[in-house]
Amino acid sequence: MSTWRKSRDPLFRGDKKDGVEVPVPSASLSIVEHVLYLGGKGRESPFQSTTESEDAAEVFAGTGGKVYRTTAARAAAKSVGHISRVELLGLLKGKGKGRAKWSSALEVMTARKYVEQWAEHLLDFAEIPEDEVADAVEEIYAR
Amino acid sequence: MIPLSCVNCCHNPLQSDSLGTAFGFCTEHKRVLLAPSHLTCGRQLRKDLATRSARRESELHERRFTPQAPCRLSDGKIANGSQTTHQKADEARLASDPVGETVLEYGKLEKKIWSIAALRYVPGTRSELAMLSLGRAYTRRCVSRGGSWTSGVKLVWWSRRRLEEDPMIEATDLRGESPVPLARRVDLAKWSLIMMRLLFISDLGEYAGEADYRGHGNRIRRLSSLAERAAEATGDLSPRRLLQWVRREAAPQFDEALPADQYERLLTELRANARDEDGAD
Repeated sequence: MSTWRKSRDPLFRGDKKDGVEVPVPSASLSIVEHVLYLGGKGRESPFQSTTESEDAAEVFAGTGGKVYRTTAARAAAKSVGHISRVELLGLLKGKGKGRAKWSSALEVMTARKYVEQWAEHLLDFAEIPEDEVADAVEEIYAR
Repeated sequence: MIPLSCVNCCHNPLQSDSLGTAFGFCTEHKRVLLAPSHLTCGRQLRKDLATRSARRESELHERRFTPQAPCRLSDGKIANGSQTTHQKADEARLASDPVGETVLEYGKLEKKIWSIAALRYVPGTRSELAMLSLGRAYTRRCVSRGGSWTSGVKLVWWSRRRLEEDPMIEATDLRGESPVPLARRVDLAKWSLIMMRLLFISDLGEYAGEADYRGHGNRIRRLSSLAERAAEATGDLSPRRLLQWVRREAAPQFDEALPADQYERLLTELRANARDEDGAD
């Protein structure tokens, strides 16, 4: 895997054709819960998964979906946080650190595996006011 | 959402996140899954979680998706013909592969456990993946229908034989596109398979605990935390370190919890109550 650079390289997200899912800033969710998709479909999360691999994003988009593109700088311009793959791998050790703290080491390791497999980065909307999230998402991603 | 898809379901024994064929097969709905990453149903039983978490997530999942047929993960609508198939020609293609052929037979023999037993004799990592997936699903079904926690003891006993083996993963065993270099993909796939062995054994310990089984000094119940303890002790995704821990800690603990004479005694009890074995049918 070539080294991804924040200043140079894009992030991709596979999602529905008609738009990117809108996160919920107030949702209280560990990074482990987010990555493992615990809580079932429709669970609320302040995070949004992206990947440095366009091929990986295409898998998530599927034949009926669409790959969206952004950069860490575009996210930062809208005050949206960016947690890189390297940072995630640093947090997903043992029983997790910081916002990746979790009760099960097995689930932390499994989340770590997914992050590595899919070259995952997270966008963090926790600091965005609820009524501005949809606009922020719209502006971050290029069609 | 791939963790919620058929790829990560024990009822689809042909695939895991990184191992297996390009297409899947649902042993519940008897369908070849052409787009498994984008399909699911209310019967999903996650491969990547230990017993309690998998059960909790299954209950949440069942509220969102029908158990009656494979459906689209995106909107819950029943999958169409371009996403699943049960045409004879497609099943024939599946049957051209020894693992696929055995999986296709699942539920057609008098007892489901016979199909799982047949996988023991098919060499390779994909057959082990299939055996572990179906073994977890079979045991869970037996227990949930009131069968004994020992219903899967034979399957777990067979898994013990491979517990200390380094999985032999060929490049052709890997599925899907990935940004990860091939050598690392093999490492991650090995880690997943070794962990699946531990999860299957952990299931047995969990079910013994739920049944309040007090035989053999509660040692079998202690196995319920085996996968968790492995992750905690090794702390990273190194199959080499995980296998070292398995050989040093897990294998001796298993042998202490379930020595041969204890296993034979449990088998005798199981035969006396045939309902347990048939519970999954």
